[in-house]
Amino acid sequence: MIVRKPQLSLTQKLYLPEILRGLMITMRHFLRRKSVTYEYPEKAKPVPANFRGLHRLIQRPTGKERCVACELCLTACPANCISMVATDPNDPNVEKFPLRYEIDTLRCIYCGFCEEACPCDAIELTPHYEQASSRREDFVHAKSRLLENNQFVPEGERISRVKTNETYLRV
Amino acid sequence: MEGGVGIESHLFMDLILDLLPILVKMLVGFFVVLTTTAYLTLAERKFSAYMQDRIGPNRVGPFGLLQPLADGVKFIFKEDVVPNHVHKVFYIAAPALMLVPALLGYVVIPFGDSIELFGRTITLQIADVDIGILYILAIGGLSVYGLFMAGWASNNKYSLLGGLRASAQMVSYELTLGLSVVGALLVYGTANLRQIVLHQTEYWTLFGSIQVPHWGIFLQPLGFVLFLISAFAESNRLPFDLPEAENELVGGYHTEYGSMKFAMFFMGEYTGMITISALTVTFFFGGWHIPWIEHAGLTHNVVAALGVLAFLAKTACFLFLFIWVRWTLPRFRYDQLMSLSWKGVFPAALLNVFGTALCLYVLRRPM
Amino acid sequence: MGIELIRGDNFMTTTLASAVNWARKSSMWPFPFGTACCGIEMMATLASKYDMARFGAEAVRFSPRQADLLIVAGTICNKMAPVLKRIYDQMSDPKWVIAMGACASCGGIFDNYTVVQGIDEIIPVDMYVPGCPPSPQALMYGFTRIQDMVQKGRGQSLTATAEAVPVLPV
Repeated sequence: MIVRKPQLSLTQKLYLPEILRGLMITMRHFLRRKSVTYEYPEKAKPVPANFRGLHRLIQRPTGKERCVACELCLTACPANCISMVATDPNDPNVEKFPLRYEIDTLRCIYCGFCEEACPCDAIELTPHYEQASSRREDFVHAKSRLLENNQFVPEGERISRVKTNETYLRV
Repeated sequence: MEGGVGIESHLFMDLILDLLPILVKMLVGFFVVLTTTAYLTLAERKFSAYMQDRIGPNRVGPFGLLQPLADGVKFIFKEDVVPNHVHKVFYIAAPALMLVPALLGYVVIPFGDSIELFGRTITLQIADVDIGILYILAIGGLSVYGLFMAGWASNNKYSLLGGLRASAQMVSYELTLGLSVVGALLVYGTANLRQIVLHQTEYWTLFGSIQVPHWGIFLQPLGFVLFLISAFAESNRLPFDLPEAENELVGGYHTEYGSMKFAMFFMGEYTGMITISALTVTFFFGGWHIPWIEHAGLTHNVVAALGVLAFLAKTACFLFLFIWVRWTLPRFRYDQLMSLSWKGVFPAALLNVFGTALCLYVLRRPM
Repeated sequence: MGIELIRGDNFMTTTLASAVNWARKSSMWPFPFGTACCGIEMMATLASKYDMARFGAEAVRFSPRQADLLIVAGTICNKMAPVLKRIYDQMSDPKWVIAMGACASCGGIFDNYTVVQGIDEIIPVDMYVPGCPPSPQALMYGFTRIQDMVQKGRGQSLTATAEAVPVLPV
């Protein structure tokens, strides 16, 4: 491709008329004073419906987690930020459940593969994003904390990003 | 012997009374310039925000009015690093060499007419120098030493490039700055800044009744444009801020400077801006003169006080222009800068001088 | 310097310290160390819509000697590590560091032999902001947390504030 030097008219060559045109643009913005800024700590920008933030583990009505420790999320995770120790709960209705379930949200890339992989819709990414901290330990979310993260989503509400397959939702 | 003592004390009183107004003017001027410098940084940040549809600093004090204070205190309490690889003497001297000439410049600028106080006439100017223009140009020429001394002493390639650019740019544009006022000097016939302003308080009478003040902008429109362009280049402001071009040279000549030394460069830049704005007003916009105020029938002191306000307002307009242009235009390329200087502004300034001289010769020829 | 070391019952020095801390937190000029996509979000944070200028932090200094806050936004590979270390060393005290995003905080998905697994292997970090990349508001939350920290006179570059690491709940 040959880029030819643009032919400038006389007013363009003189710079000053073009500069004045530019100055008029900034002056228009200066006088209009219509700021587009979201004043964050007071008035945050609303997060979009499919925003992927901090994780939560969805509870059964009994209060226990819905997770059945199938380790699909762990396999799907590209950052390997989920770790799990599964065990037998001695409950005839539940075959397997996670004894330990930890997500390192610092290493997590919030891709949402875990919630997509989950057959039981047990894990979900909430719209919560305010989680900066000065200690790395704060980012290792154990099972109890992941259950607490339910507070970031209104009671009984689901994030309808992943199409729910009701047949798997036995409880 | 007693009489002798009396004469001496009388002389002493006179000396005090002569010196006191000068000291007061110096202190007030110093205070005003430094405060304006501090708040100019805030104005720059706020206005840039408004031009970009943002809000700008608003967390400290109402409208962020304490922002300059926070910046200053932060700079003072920051660690003062002198890197190992620099030339220590020049490294430490450079910020002072940048700030001091900028602060000295405003000394000869008349900021108001004279006022009558306690039977004494006090001229509202710190030093009424006959060669005020030469003084300003000379002092302005000194600030380039600060820049390239900083660039060289830092022993850093970015600083050195910034310093080189600064010296080449400032030398080129000092020439055009000087030449663009030569036309004005020819018209006014004096290099005394007070006399120049007084010259501009006269009027032309057009169509029998309309009075137009003798402002330099009407006498030297081309000179004004050239002066303004050179002023932008002299104060290292966008679109001519090549000495500190961030995206090419990190910080240019002040890359290796931190804390208060950097703040001094910062203040030097803004103080230089104030001086050059005041100078533009003095040369081309009638200094403290308010047109047609002579007909209002006010007393001399009131007119002088209003004149000071007018001078400040006019200077503020030019400071706003500096900020406005900075947030509108992108930076020139270096060859564009140089060709603008040597192929554009310099010949135009020469032409302006010759044209003015020719006009004056024709108009003022004894018939 | 030195003010933050004077602590105790003296009313004057503690008041002065809090005033200085107020100035420091209100005028944090960032050094942008944007090496990857987080850098783009950092730019968005400084731009009109989120406008970090409100906190007095829009004066981005590209020279480390003039900056107060190092925002490491992006993957730091082993070749980049010495550069980052040098930039950090060139900053004059007091200084603070934000590790923005998964890569800067702990390597993120790049758990391999070329990438530094978190910049805290080479420099102290005051605030981790998780996300890949964090949204501008998440970065601003981290920034306000840093401001709180500065107001309290804390920060790893000032005084070592070793806090008891809590026992993780199972």
